[in-house]
Amino acid sequence: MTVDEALQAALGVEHQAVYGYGLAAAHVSGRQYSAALTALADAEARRDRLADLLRRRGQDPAAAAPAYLPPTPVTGATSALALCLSLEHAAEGAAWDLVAASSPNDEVRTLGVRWLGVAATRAAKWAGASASAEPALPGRPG
Amino acid sequence: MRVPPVTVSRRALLLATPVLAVAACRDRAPSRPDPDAAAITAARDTERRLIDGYDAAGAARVADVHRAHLAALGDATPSPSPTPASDPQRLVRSSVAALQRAAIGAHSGQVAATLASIAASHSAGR
Repeated sequence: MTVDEALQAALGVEHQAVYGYGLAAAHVSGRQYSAALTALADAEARRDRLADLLRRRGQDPAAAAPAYLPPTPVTGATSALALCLSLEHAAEGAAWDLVAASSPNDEVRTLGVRWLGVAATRAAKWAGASASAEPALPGRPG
Repeated sequence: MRVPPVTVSRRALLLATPVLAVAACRDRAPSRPDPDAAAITAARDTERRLIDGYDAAGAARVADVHRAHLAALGDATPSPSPTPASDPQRLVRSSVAALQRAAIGAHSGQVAATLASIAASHSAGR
């Protein structure tokens, strides 16, 4: 995978995260609502940064789809939390790919390393809320 | 309207082999030392200390997470650490920054991703 491919894939993940967190936030309340909104804002900021990185590399950033279909219907808090967890697992995978495709000490590598940490931390919180176990190696393929 | 699924197709490049399989091959070429060897050795030492520290604390499930980290670093049969962590949770927290720095500077993308993933696991408190 090239850096440009990894960046486009990461941008696609963040387009989905923006949509998905907006959807999930409508089904949770209290601290989970606040956490979903924070994650949404982070995803928007990272989406914009990824698009900027692509433009600076002479690439056209892929546009978001009008809507996305969740892996399972989001009908309440439980399914909303499951969606949040799946969004962070997707982020972990995209961040792993960014790190693996990038060069030492460059901006993309740094972004990927930090994003992987954020996604794993957030996934652990969502997993705690939905009582599922988390992998020992976040983002690792296989 | 047909909409794409939220579930992401994650990657085109799937490499699940332990990092040290790569490093071991490099070690056979004496004129080209592995530039990531020091970072891998340091990460292994940390994981060994955590395994022994968590085992001593009776936290076998958490120790297993660090065994998985060590295996990803190419050490499937861990030897005891000479200095097991007396406060493993503290070592988990304090190791994150060094692991992230090592990941950012790693020459191999696969080594970088593995170190970043271990750092992410530690930053998530595992």
